[in-house]
Amino acid sequence: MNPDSNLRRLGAWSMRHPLAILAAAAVLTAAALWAAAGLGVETDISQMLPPDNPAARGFSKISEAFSTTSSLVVVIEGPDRSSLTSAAETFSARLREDPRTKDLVRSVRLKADRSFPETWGLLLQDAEELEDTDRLLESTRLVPLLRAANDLMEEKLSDGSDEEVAGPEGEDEAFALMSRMGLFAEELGRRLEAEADGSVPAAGPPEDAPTDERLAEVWLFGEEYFLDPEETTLLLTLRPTFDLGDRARLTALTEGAGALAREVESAQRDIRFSFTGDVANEADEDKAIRSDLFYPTLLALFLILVLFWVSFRRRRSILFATAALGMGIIADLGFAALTVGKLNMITTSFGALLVGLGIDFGIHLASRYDSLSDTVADPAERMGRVFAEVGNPVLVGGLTTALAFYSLLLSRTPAFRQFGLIAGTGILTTLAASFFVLPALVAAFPGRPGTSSGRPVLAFSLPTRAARACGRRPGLVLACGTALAVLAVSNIPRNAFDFDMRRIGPQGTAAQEAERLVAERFGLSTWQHMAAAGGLEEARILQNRFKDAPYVRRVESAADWIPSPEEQEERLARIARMTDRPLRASGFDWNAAAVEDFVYEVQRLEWNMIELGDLAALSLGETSLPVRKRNALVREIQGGRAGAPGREVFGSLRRKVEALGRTEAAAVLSRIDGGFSEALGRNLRSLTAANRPITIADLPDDLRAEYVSPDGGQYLVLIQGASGLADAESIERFSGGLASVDPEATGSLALGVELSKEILADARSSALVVGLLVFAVVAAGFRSPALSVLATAAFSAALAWTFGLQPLFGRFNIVNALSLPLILGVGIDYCVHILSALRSGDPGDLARSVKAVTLSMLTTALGFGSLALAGRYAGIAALGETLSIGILSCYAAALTLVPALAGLRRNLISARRSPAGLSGTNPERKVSK
Amino acid sequence: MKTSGKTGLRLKAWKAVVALSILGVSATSSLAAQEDALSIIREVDRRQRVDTSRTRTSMRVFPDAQNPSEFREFVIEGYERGDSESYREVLEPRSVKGLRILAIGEDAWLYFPSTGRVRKIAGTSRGESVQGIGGDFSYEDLGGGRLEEKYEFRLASVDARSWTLEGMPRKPEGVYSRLVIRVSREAYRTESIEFHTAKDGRLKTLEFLEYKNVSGRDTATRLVMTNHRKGSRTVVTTLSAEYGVPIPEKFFNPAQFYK
Repeated sequence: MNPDSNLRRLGAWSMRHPLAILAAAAVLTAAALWAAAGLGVETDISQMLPPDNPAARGFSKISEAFSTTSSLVVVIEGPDRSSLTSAAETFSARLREDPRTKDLVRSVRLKADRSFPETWGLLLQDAEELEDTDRLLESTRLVPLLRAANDLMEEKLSDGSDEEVAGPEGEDEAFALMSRMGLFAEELGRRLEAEADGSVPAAGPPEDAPTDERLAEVWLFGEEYFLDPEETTLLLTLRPTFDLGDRARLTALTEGAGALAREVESAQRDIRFSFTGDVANEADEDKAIRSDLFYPTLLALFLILVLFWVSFRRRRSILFATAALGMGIIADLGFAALTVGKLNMITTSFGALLVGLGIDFGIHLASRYDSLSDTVADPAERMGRVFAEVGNPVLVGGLTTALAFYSLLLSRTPAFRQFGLIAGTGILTTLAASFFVLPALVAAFPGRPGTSSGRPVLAFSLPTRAARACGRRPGLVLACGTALAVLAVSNIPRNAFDFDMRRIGPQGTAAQEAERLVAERFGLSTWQHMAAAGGLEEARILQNRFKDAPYVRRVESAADWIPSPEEQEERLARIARMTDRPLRASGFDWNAAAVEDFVYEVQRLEWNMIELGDLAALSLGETSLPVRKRNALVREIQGGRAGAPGREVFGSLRRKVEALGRTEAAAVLSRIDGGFSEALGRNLRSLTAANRPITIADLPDDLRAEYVSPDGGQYLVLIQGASGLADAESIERFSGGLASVDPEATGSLALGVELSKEILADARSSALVVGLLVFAVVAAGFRSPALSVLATAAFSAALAWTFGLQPLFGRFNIVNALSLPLILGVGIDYCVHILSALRSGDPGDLARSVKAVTLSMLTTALGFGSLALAGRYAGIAALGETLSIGILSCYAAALTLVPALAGLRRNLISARRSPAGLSGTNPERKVSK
Repeated sequence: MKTSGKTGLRLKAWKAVVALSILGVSATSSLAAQEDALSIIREVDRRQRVDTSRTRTSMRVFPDAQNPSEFREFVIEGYERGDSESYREVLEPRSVKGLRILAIGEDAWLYFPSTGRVRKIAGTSRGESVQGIGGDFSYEDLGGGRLEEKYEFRLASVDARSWTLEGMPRKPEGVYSRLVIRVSREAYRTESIEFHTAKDGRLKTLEFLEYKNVSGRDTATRLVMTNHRKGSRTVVTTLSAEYGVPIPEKFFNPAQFYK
């Protein structure tokens, strides 16, 4: 009993039991739809990695210990500091009160916490800094204070070391110093004007008015908001109460925060909000995935219907093939819902892929059925003949494709395994639907005899003629094909892999735009990474080691707030000596000479800030934060000349004093100095009252929640990348640097690199397995090693063309790396169908197979092409592009190399049988088995 | 067979002579090798030594040697006199144009054209970079002086093309614990110097590239200093150079160099 006759019986059986088949199909479809309603979306990269991957393990450990480590970064742009801080305070307050957001936000980091440094600030200073502080604050009076500050700055920068302005920490410290001095000068100027006008408020929140307390705080602690050097951008960070997997809350928070931002913008017209960070990027990815699931599938279906319309006379064939395809896809959707439960950035593409792949089966069957309508009257017999003639290659093609997908089940990566399972099963469900539902529909709704439309349809005669021509000129075709393959192989080494996950996701989003703004204005990447430590000292060690890793801009942990026990002991002794210092606020008389001294010290301060900027330009570059701050506070410096104007904060303060005249200035400054000095003295007394080491319990709640797990067992080290994380190479080095310190260091970019490496390894190994399986199935189908080798040879050339062309279009990534097993499974179908047709020896078979293969190629290309054109997810679009290249290459090989190889084989066999001469080069003469 | 007394004595004497000869040969070889190392270094020093020089150089500082797209670039005009006097003026970039550094012995003065002030940098830390514009070159690296005065050299290895010399500091407080210098036999060109410290091992490597005849002197017109600990690199390219030229005294006068 040969397979062809079994298939003939199957076809006839399907035609004779349409109602039973359709009823069963309807029940299955309804059940699948019901199951599919629960299908979710997953964008968490760590869930796609093998659980034993160190970075994935680290992420899981941290997520469990801290409930969430993700953040929503709010970027506020405005004309000046006052507008920005006002908008930020309003927004922050509303976030905590608004019912849409208050339960979704765990903490808002708007400004530096003051309560902790007000008590423990001196304990956070090292021995040298304490020495400097003690010297600086010998007097709390304005003129001695400024003089001491200037003397100290000049000494520090004259000791031959550039450690003050070197490296990220030096940059941050210089920037903080400039911000502090600049803010103090501005606040003092405002206070001076208010004193001169008599409009000083008696009391009020320090952040609103230049009161004595405010001046003292600014002098000691500097800028509390996170502003860029030009003070036109402010950052604040929200921590949500949920993890990124909670899509409903993710959407609620982003929408709620967005709505509040719009309200603040409408009240302050010169303010603009944007959002970035994990939460914003995940929300954008979520939207893109959903649209990539739905719209490309619709587009593919529409284009395919149009193609069928022009290719088939009987419209019913179109409808029935599409209906069968639809049922097959829905069945797979239900299967996906029951097995994996959620789709991710890789599995989301299965719909469009199945449209392109699954329709092949219906095309071959419907096309052949359509062509036999004039020769076989009985429908059941006709379908039986269809199954006998094309059933085997369709089955072989379907099984090889399914096997290609199922081989991904061997992958270490859950994402690949899920994709293999869903896609492989989808092939089987659409294959089954084509074999059972399509014939049943044809039988159930036969239409009236002779109703096939007389309208012209595409005959696809051109590709058929091309195939025949190639069979008649095997030498030339094979020489060209080989030459192309050799050329392609030489280009294969240019293939590269893109490890930058950001280029795989949706492009041109608002979150990405905000990220670029943050990088440009602050020199930071918003892609936060982290590592967990078992204790405070371990966190300290890790923190110090991470600082030396490539592309690391900043590292934070609880160790920043709690020095080591040895350090604290030494510092407490030093602080105790500071407590004993005599009164700091005494001994200063304001007169004309004192006013001149004050003006001179403000001038010195300006010179010191300018020179600090010069040193930063030498050590860090002209675009560093201190240089930009200097340019904004004072003016742009071009060697000995002034460039673009700045705010001239120090010059402005001097002019305000000089405008009052010496006598009045002395009186005003005396009043300010008295109150300021006392307020500063009070702060100092609070600071020098520290008489015991800091412990974890002393950390403010927000800080403790940030860095210490609720059970106190894990300490988080937060790593911020530099703005130079702009491409795949830098990201790979960044990730490698973190892993060299702690293999379990984790974060989105690092996870992306790990996932890329796993998938690249999987793609290589699965290609080998699939190649062997495909060859085995093809050999079993043909039952002829020679024909199997022939089909494989043509297909191998197609693969060479594919991977030789790919570098011209872009890099591989974790999504289009899936193309290899797909191209293997799909592309071999074409070679098998053409070779089967040639083997039959019937010229009509070749024409019908070429039409079917061409239709199949077009529908597959449309299915994949729709991804390339309509997919907002760049990785999915790249998948469409790569697969289109592969499918077209395989089609070209099937129509040129297969007939040529068959023709060559025919010639060789003929030559062996009749050495006197070749009996012809027509490959369509029966190819022996 | 027992050796007779006389034969035993002769044997002992013969052994002593052989031993002494071996020692003598070793000493001679050692002396010869030391002489060779010393003579090589002296020749290198002789060929490199200039009384005065005027140079214009471009310096590219790559904070991350593996990221060639990010760097700071300076164009510097420099004057040197003897072993311990140097003057450098920044010509580019524009933001620090006119900034000048005068170094005399252990002291240095820095002039800021932006404020018109001069800062004295006393007791320069020899191991530190030159106020940022030295990149990976420290005061020690740029400071003059003969190598033989600072280090004691031995010949570590020889091949057909070059000598490799190892230098140990004569004074324990030196910045580097060891130097390894490769000198090509052709024209006694220094090919590379490795700077070692006790803490870091091989801390930096300086390569001397693109030798050209500049003003009659064999000059490495491209110097590449790689800092292995920081992963940074500095490339100095000589744009022009003149040797033995008269240099106005004011460039080496702390009270006048900035005027």
